[in-house]
Amino acid sequence: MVYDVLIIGAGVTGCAIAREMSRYELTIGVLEQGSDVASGTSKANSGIIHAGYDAPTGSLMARLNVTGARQMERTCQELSVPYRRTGSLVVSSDSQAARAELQRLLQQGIANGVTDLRLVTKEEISRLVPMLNPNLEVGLYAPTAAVVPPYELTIALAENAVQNGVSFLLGRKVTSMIPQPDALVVHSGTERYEARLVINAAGVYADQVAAMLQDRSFSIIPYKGQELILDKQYGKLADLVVFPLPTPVSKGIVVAPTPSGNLLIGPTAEIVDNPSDTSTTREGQLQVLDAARHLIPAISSKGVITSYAGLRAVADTGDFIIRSSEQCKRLLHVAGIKSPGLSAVPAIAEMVIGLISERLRLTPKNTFCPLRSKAPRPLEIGLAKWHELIKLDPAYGRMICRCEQVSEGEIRDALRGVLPPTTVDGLKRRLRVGMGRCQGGFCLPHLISLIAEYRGLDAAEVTKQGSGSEFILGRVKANPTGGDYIE
Amino acid sequence: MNRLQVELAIVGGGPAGLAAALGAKQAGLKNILIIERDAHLGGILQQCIHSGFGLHMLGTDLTGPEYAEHFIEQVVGSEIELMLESMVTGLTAQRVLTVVNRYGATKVTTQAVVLAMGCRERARGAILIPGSRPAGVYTAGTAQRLVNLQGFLPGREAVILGSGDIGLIMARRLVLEGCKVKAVIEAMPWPGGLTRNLVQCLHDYDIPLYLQHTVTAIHGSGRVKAVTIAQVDEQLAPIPGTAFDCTCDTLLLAVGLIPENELSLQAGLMIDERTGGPVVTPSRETSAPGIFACGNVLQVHDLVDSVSQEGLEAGRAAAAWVQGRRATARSYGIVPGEGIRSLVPQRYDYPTSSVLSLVGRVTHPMQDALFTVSRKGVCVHTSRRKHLRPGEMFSVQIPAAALNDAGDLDVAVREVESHD
Repeated sequence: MVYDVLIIGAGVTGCAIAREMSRYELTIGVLEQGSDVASGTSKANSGIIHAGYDAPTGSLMARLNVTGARQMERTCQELSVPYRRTGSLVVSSDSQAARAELQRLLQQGIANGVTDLRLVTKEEISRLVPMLNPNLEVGLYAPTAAVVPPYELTIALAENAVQNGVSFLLGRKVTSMIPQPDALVVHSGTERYEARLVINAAGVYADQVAAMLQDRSFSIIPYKGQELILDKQYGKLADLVVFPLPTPVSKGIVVAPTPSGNLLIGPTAEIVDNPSDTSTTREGQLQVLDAARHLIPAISSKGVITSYAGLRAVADTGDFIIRSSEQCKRLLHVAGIKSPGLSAVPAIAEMVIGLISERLRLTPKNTFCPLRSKAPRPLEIGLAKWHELIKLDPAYGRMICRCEQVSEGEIRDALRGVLPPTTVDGLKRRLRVGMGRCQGGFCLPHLISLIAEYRGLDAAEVTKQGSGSEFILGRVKANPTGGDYIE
Repeated sequence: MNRLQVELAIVGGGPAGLAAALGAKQAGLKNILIIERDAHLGGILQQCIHSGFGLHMLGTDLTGPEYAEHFIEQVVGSEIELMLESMVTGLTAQRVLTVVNRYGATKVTTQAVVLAMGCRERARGAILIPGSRPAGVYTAGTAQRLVNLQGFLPGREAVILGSGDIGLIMARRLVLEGCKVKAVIEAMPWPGGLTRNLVQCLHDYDIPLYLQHTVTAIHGSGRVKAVTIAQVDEQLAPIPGTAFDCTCDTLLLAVGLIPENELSLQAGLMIDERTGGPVVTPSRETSAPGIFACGNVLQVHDLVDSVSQEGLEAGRAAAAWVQGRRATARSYGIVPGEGIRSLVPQRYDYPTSSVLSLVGRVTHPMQDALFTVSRKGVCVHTSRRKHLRPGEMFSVQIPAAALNDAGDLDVAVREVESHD
């Protein structure tokens, strides 16, 4: 089978492009090396929808950020993804230089087309963030900034793409590409795919994918970002995203509320050699805590429930790379999608449609439905409706994850969904099971059993994040063959 | 929505909740409800298949499930109502609970509530262990459930961080199942668990214990491949140059328990930063009238026997509240001072005619220690102890005669010269 379009990479960029393309009569496939979508950079993103004042005026980043951020709320509505318009605030202690920098950001923001952006007084700052370090007296307020759950958004884009006919080919790492007169052949090990057009949305691996066709026009430098998540008890320390003044390499270590009511602090910005190195370090964790406490002194390591690191795909060109390869016109790069990439994705996807329309005939598909059909989530519908739901199906009344209050019914729905998770981490990113304060201490054994049951596996075959990450390495002596042990 | 009215609702059917129900029943309450998340009563005891339970309370050595059964039989044999596989999602200071189970959502209005939710384990994030995030990192209790209730081995070659009782018990359990336990690592200069567990679980099986060490990194992409271990200084910071790698496929974390007080916070109860549990009076009444608490939700106990004892007393006190025998005395604070890490209760009533019993933990091991209880700078009671360890709860009884005036009590403990 020849695909019209093959997308390499099922991060938020690849999934947004897949979903946007599914509006047209095209045969679309997405190749992903991970066992699930959102298993690279997108799963560790901060989830901030930036207003758009950071990027230099005239850059692709600036234009797509401002446009994408405007479209994001609607995208989230269509996909039933939480979207919390929190606003954001850049703060600093008062100095000539700080005022000049805030003024520069304000002017840049206005030039980029950001609305409602303004400098704020000390009084307004302390009203917006009462727990802020009182020495931080000058600020820039951007009411249009928001937060979203990045993995949930990615999964929702992918699910909606599946509903509209896109095929996801997971666990397939692209190993080589060979141009032919009427198609580009893509190999994943022994598997062979043909496509009229290939989109390189391979994140931190995008330069390696380009190099498969001798395209060395850019390279990707992975920038590690370590982040910490604090318990919901700390979620009220900041109602909006608080930034320090930006540095030349990043927007700095921020304090951000999350859509689920936790507090996120981070990320660091560290160049790494290995594009799969997502390990955290003690230095990184302490750096994040120190920087976050400088913004909000009440933040304490006591509240931390988890820490992780992600890699930003920073291109050496300094901007997003969204263009055809010079070496092969059938390859379109969507690379270097660093921050504000998440904010920009709706606009990136639209821009890609514009570019492919020069090469493929785009016929709108009249069966396209932009709305994701989402299984019921009791916590989102309120107690009275939850009660009615349980009356129809008692599985919604059997709680599996205590901390995030997720029922067996929701887990079952996810495991039978259009893009069902195959791993515990996949389930976690769909439902937040195990993401709460006990970090799966109570629910992990149940999740293993439920995944085994619904996917017809032995418990020893259930993994955290794909083959090689099994949880169970054997049976006790009294019960060597498995089966019902107690209960 | 379903509606239900009871005299007393008990949140949690573990040892604390079971004993509270029995205590209230014995005190004459008729209309008692236990709400339990699991499908079975007994709580965490059901996975504690080792022995050592009941020596104090029942005068016999039982396994966890046997000990639980002793109480479950009495509860099931009485007219105590049970809601199993039911989760309390809400609690107000006016003692209205929201419960969700397979029959829907239920508003339960009560005259009294006993909180007996127990505790949860601290996880990796809470202690900020850096490194990669592979499979094979479990809290000791999760591993215990997998092994003892489901018959699964979570790994073959383990390192255990934390020498608290669960860590020690799991070290032995894994060895008995044919796994290798390469080391138990403890950041403090002294072991965390009970002495009998140190002997019976580590020494008897030649498992090395590394005091003043910690795990500074986890390695492996799919499954744990190794951990880095390093010595720590007095501030518990890793000492440069002392790190070494230890290959293993599993890291068990026994790094402390946290009382589960999300409902207490919802109800606006006053919480003690030291214990992590609600502030209570000697009858285990919280800052919200008619809401009581007992067991590990209040403070983490060493022995289930003392949990049961506390449960019985809280149940009786809740019954007395329902029956209208409500305290009219004023309450004063009990303030932990030098040498005291935590103390329960945090308040006491004056005037009083009964002995005031304090339980808690010390900050560090002590020999020949003297507890002093003072009021307005005047010492009203002293009590001497030969040995004190943070891993074992102490108890101090203050006679009613010493409580002959109003005012906060200050409690301290320090080593004194031996007079032996």
